[in-house]
Amino acid sequence: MDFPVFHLDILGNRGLIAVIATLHVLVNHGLAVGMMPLVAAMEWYGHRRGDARWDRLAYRILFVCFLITTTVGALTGVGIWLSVSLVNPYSIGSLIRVFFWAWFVEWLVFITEVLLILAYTLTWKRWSTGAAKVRHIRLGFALAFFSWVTMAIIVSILGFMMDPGNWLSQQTLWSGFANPIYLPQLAFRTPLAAAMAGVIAMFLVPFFVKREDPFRATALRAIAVWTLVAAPLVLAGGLWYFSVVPEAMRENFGVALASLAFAEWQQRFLEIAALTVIAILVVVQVAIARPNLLPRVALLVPFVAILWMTGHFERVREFVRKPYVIGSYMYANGFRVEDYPLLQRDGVLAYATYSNPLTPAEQAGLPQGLSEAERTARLAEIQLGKDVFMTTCSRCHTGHGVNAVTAHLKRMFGDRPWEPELTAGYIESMHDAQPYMPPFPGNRRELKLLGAYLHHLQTNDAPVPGAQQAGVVVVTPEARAAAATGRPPATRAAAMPRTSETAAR
Amino acid sequence: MLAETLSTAGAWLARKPSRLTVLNALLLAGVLAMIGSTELFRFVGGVAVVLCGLAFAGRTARRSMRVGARAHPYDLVVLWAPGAIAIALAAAALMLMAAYPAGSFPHLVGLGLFVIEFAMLALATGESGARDLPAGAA
Repeated sequence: MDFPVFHLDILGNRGLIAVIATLHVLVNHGLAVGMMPLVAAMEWYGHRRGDARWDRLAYRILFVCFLITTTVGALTGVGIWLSVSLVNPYSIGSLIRVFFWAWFVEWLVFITEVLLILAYTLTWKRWSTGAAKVRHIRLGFALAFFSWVTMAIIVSILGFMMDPGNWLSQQTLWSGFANPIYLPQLAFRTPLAAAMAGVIAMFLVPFFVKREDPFRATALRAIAVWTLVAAPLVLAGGLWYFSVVPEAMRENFGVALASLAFAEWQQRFLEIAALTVIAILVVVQVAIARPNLLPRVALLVPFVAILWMTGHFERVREFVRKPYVIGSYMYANGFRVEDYPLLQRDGVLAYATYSNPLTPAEQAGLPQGLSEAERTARLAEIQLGKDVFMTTCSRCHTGHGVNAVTAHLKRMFGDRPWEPELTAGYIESMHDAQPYMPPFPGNRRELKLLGAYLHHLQTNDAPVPGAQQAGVVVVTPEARAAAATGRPPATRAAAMPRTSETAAR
Repeated sequence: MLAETLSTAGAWLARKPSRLTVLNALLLAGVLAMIGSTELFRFVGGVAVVLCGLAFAGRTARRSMRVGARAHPYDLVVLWAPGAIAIALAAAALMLMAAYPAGSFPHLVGLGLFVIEFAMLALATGESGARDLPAGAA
């Protein structure tokens, strides 16, 4: 509660991270981790055979990768951490404290990777013969290695967020790094990256080699073999990975695949996933047996299919660890498990540094016929309820957008009034019925305040702005104490915020 | 008129032996589908895949042994992969057809996949007896 709450009420905070992270994974796995060894292998093979066509094709594919990885890849890589820091600064704070040195090493490795891809691309034509070519090929394999190492470090952090393992008791960097999910996830992602690269390279070949050139068939066949070799390793790694996912997380799969409203979609997803794998195998098979018969449009099938599958995989991985953002340590709302007893006793508002002021649009929709005093009192209650909502719910939920609380309440309670007692009663025990929801972190009074705010949202469909739009109000100690106890401040001055920090409105 | 059409079609099929193989696979699947018995489809289709698969494996194994240590692993993968994938996917297609009721989407996908993969397997088997290792072996 030391940070203002960033909030996107249409896309949702999760949507922001999902878009950036999925894009980054596709670029990182498909065009860097998997593609660099493939490009270096193509260059090596062409050099060994004295076949310049392999060299030309490898360079053209590399150039595409170079352009995309150094722009979209680099920006989304930084973008992930920037967006996650905005959305859930507490989880990132914990991760930085645990993985400081690992992240520092990753930064060095990443800088090395960037320098290597610059050197590899820019020296391709100059280091083209004799010993210089051999040196250049080594450069390519070094680039491939460093690309993999960046992933190998970050995968540890991803595994840690799912299951910190012994870190929960030992709290050392090594115990966090060597979490139970680390190696299985790495064993899955490494061949997945190779397979993705193969599929993308097959898609690119027709753009760079003409149909009548017999080399097109040769290249397609070789890259298809690369993809095929990776495929069983993806399956084996996937099974190993699945076997170490904690049982509680597996129960979330159905919801993770789509959303709560589409939990039954799991079966359909599995069928589509199986069809995707079959489609990829058929294309690979034809690329090996009859490469000349493979039309360019057919190569779109595995390309789109593997992008779709990877996107879904990342979505599932992000969701199944609910209700935690860091397994058994921190809930998705950013509160540590060990802080819950304190918060449930004193309330979350007692420790809130900022308030999230209601905009004029959010103040609309109050019942008719209220006196000025009643209206003021009602707005004060809604204001406190909004602060509870922003602090405890808004990391995952919007007011009226994607994964909106109003949509869930409407589904459960329909159009009858969402009386505070009704919604509060549900929220109090929702984690029992829906294990992916964290328990409510505040006290009973805050539960009622939240209920009052949700009741207000039933008649007010204005977007709920984040601190980046509506600014924040710094809560004075007196106002904080008053909010925590429900008693009015001793003086009128104390009821007003001492400082307001507002962003450009 | 009919004789001329049949003659043209026959000449077209004869130009490439693979066309006849694909046609045979289509006819087999078509007849089995028209009978409408999933059990019969599974049995006859399974036997056809097993026989064809054994022929493919035997011929390809002989071919691999003939070149022995001279063959590069890549070339061996190119030899084995089309038939091996076809066997696996044809089996998957039969399982798909058995798991879903006739006329459902997965059942039709299984049927289509079986036709493609049985044809691919037959082609790979036919070629495994004649084709040399790809250029550049060893």
